[in-house]
Amino acid sequence: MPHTSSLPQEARGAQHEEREPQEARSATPLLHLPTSTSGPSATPKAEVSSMRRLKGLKCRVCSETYELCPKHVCEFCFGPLEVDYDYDVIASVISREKIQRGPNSIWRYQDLLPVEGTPRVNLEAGFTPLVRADRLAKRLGIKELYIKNDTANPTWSFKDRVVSVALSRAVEFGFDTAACASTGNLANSVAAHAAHAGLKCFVFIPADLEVGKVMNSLIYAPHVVAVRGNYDEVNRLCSEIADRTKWAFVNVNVRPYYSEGSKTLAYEVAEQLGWRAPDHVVVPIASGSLLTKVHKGFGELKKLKLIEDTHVRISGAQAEGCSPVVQAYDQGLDFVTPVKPSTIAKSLAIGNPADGPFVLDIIRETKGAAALVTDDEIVEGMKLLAETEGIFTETAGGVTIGVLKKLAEAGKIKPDETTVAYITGIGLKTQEALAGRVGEPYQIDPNLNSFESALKDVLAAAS
Amino acid sequence: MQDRLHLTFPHERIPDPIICEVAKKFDVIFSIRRANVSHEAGWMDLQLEGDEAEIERVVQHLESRGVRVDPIEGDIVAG
Ligand SMILES: Cc1ncc(COP(=O)(O)O)c(C=O)c1O
Ligand SMILES: [Zn+2]
Repeated sequence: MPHTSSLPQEARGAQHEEREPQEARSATPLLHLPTSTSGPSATPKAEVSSMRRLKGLKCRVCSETYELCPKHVCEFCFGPLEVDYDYDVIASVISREKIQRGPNSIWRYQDLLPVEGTPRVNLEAGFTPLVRADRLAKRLGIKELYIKNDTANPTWSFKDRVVSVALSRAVEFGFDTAACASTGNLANSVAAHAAHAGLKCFVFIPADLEVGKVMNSLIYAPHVVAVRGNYDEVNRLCSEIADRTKWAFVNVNVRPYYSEGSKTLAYEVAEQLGWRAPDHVVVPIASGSLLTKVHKGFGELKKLKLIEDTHVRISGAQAEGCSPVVQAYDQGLDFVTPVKPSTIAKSLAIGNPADGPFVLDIIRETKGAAALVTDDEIVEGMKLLAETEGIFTETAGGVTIGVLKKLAEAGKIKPDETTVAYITGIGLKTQEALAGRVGEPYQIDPNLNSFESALKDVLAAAS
Repeated sequence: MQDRLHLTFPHERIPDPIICEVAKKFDVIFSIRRANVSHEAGWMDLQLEGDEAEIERVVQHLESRGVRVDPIEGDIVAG
């Protein structure tokens, strides 16, 4: 591995995690699932370093603090827990130069990630291209537009960032089994990272998921469990399984570590723009974790004086068929009413988004906007990005581009704002959305006459 | 057994004494950890304690009264 840890030696030893607090439910025996006996094992307490970069976990709602441990909900108010850093310690070790000397992956920002030693679950996610999108910009009437092309990740979505961080931390906690519930990108990424690191892996999917989708996970040979039931039933069961097993369920018990990985999408954009924040970003919303962490990432860079104190407007994108956050935004509410998803943007189909209220706060506070697009506009967005910039995104990217277009047309993105659209997944995984929408090849016989007559049609169609 | 639930009340159900019904009709105890109820709608985060079957009956009662019941984590089946 090219990467050598950039952390001070003391920080690596400073593991002070404890066995997961016994929760009432874990006393219930595991149904029929094979038991992984190895929950997080108690690590001997190392001497507490004077350079503690990671302070612990902190409740996002009531600020109650906890030790670093695999826990995601505050015991008092049930608010989500977040990793709490000592920014004075980070400021004393971090610099632009140090980051630039680091690996070409998310791990160049390890000083700002909740992993202490050399990351042990690492497929080199991140450091994806930031593409100047002049042709798309011109279409939309924006002067300076960039596409953060996160299709260029090990399993072709931004989920590799969060999964690499979650599982690296999980291994430090002593877990030997990775798990998730997912219909697509998250499952692909967990299965691939678990394979690479030699972790056991359970992936839960709804039983009616298309075969093609499952293939992208099955190839890495995880245990795939298909749950018969409707959307809510599958969710509820998976939440119960996550509660009862001693596995690292990436978006449940290790979610505080998982979601930190998304901050790297802010760091990279700032670094790639020459250490400056953009004026406006457009981010797709499912659970809302990505958007809240992009916000946190820019905020941290400012706090650490790695970028100027500029103001980033953060706008959110959802599909009409699953738009609980945009609806709450439009109605002026500060909480989200869950919906039943029905959209071709399956990777954004979260009807009850855990981070919904925080997303609403951030969009309002940064003077961003929120908008939705129809399924038809999603396909148009995918085509527009491919035709103008040569980037083939999945339906989630179609949502982002569709919303970018809407906001530009409505004057909510100002022409002189440096704008970045986050393209978070690849089009090859959602090709069914394009059936009948991208034209046909010209059929010719194997002779020049046939070609020439086809060429006439081609030229006529083009003019 | 204990369960952490997120309840969502639609506008039409705001006037109904639904939480009181849960307290009176079922053999469970609960604490309200956070809530926000307004004229438009409302939500409430509960910790429930009781046996599994009784908690299941509570969930069914809430749903029959038009309340949406979700795990505290929100939806975890991700794309
Ligand atoms: C391609 C893609 N983009 C964006 C998201 C949004 O993620 P979040 O749940 O962090 O809002 C997802 C989540 O599944 C995704 O798969
Ligand atoms: Zn709290």
